[in-house]
Amino acid sequence: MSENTFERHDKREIVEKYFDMIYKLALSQTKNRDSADDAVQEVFLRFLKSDKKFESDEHIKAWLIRVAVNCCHNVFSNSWAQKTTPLTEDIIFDTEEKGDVYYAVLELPQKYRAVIHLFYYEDMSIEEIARALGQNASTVKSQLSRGRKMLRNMLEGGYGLV
Amino acid sequence: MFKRIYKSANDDIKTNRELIDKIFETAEKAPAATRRPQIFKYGTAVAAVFVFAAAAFMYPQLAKLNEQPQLPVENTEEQGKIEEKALQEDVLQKTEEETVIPETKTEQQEVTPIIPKVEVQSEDPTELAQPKENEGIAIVSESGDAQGFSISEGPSGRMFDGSGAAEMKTVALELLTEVSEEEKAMVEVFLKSTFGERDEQTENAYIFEIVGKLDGMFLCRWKHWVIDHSSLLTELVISEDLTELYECIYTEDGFVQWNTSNNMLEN
Repeated sequence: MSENTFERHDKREIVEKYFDMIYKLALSQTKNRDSADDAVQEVFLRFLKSDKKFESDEHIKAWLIRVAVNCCHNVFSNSWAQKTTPLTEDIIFDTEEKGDVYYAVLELPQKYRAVIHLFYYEDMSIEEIARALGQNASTVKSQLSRGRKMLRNMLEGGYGLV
Repeated sequence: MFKRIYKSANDDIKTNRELIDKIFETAEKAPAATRRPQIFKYGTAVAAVFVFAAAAFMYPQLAKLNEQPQLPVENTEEQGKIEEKALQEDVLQKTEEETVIPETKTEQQEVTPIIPKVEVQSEDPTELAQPKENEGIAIVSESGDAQGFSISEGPSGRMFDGSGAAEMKTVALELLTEVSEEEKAMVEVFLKSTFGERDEQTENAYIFEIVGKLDGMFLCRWKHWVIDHSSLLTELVISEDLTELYECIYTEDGFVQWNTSNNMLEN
C-alpha cells in the first residue's frame, strides 16, 4: 500500500464496511446500546486519527476488533436509567430460540463473549481471533471451550453446541 | 444449530448507521495525529551510536589519566624527602593562617538570609511548574463550599499523566469483577456528594458509571451530559470504604493505573 493510501474516501469506505461488525461486537460486549454507541465512536475516531500503516484488510479488521474490545472493557451497563435502556427491552427477536441463544451469550463473562461472538458470528478461526485479541491460540481455545460449556448449561438441549 | 440461530439473531439487530456521519463530523473537528518525521528516529539512532563510539574511544584515554605513575625503586627515598618538605610547608602555612586576625570580623553584620516561602505541595516537578490558579474545573459540593482541589477537564488535560510518580499502582483490567446494584448506588451517591450533580459553569449534569470492582477498588467513569450525548471527563477508582479516590488511566495493554500518593480526598 502506498504512503497516502488512506485518503478520506478510503477511510469512509473502511468505516462503512466494518461498522456493523464492530457495532454488533460492541453490543455483545457492553450489553447496552448507549454504551455500544460510545465504544463504536471511540473505535472509529481512533482509526480516523491514527496514521498507522495497515498491511491488508485483515490487518485493519484485527486492529479494529482489538481496539473495540479494549474500549468495551471500559464500559458496562451504567446506573443512570434515564438515559439507557437494558438490552433485554431493546431487542426483540421474532423467535424465542433466537432470544434464548442471544441473551445466553450475553450472560457469559466478557472475555468468553468476545471469543464466542467472533467464532460463531464472524466465522473467524481460532488463530484469527487470537491475533485480533492479542492472545495465544491456546488461550482462545480454552475460552471457547469454557464458553461453550457454560452455554450448554444455560441452554436446555444445548442447541447443538459441541 | 447454535451457530445458525446466533447468526440469525445478530443479523436481526439493526445498527445505528447515523453514527457514521457523527464520527466523521467529530473527527473533522479534532486535529489529526501527526507522526514525527523519520529523521527524528534515524537522528536519535545516529546520536546514540555516536555517544557509544565516543565513550568507547575515550574510556582508555580517561583510564590512563587516572593511573598513578609507577615510581622506580631507586627514586623512592628522594620522593619521600619531597613529600616531607611539602608537608612541612603545608603545616607552616596553616599556622600562619590561624594567627591572622580577620580585620573584617567585627565589621561583619549578621545578615539573616531571606528564604522565600515556597508552598511545596508536590514533589512532582511538572506539577510545580504549572500555574495553580484557575486550573481546570473548580469542584463545589452541594453545600457550595469549594472542595479545594481541581480536576482537569477531559482526557487531554489530565492532572495525572503518569510522569515522575513514585507510587503507581497497576492492575490488570481482566481482573475486573461486577458489582451489585446496591454497591453501585452507594458509590454513585458518594460521588455525587463529593463532586455535585452538575458542572457549575456549564450546568452539564454529571454521570457516574460504576464499571466494576478491581482489586478492592470501585472503577468508575465520570462523564457529563452534553446536549444529546454523554462525554467522558475522566476515570476514577474509589476504595471500598470510600476513603480513597484517585484519578486513573487505562493503558493500551489492558491495565488500569493510578498514583496512590494523589488521594483526591486528602488534597
